[in-house]
Amino acid sequence: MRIIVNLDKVLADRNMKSKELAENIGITEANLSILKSGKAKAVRFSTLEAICKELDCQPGDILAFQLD
Amino acid sequence: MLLIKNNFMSMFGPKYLSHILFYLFRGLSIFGLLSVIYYDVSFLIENFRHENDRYLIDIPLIGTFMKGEFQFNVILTVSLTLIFIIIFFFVLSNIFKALKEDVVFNHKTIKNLHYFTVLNLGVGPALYLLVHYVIMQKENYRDIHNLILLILFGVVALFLTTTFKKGVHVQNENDLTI
Repeated sequence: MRIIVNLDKVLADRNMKSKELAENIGITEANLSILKSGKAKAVRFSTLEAICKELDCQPGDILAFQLD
Repeated sequence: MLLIKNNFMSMFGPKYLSHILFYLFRGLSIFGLLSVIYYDVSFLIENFRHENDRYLIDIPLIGTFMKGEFQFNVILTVSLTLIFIIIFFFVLSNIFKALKEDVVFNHKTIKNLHYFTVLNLGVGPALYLLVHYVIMQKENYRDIHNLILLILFGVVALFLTTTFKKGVHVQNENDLTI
């Protein structure tokens, strides 16, 4: 069981680069990379809110639950 | 008031204390190293006075001297104890060196606390038993307080090691919270 981060897909749909998103939501590119790679242990509501606002999407579009 | 408090914290805050304690304990370990070298070399090159079965080694600059019974077991005991003290202060200084870093909960602190625990719960008591019963062949318990003190240090270090291990775990999780 694990949480999948579909941020790359949503970014591609919006034709936006990671660097641009990181700058707009106020986190570092390194942290965004950790989030995209699935290495993050947790996501703050404030970060999730900022991403959803910037990409005009729902949390479910970015995060998904997958059974192994 | 807040400015005074902030200035006070920057002068005497935890990092400042870690710096001072690092230099203090590192200095003590170097002083111990120089002492044991001077002590043992003095016997090798016969740089000591011999009076009534006792040796007297003059300490330069200070004008005082080290003295004790002129017996091999006494000299060996003093040397071994000094070597233990050197390692004790060296490891202690390494703990404070690790605590100087920006992130206090790091693997270096845990490693050095682990060494300190082993030193106090393993090496120290073993050295005490070796010196007390084998080298000096004593049958009393006069110096038992040293052993109790070492074990107390070791137990405290053991608790601190466990606490820091949990701290590192929490720190890692916090670093990976985006």
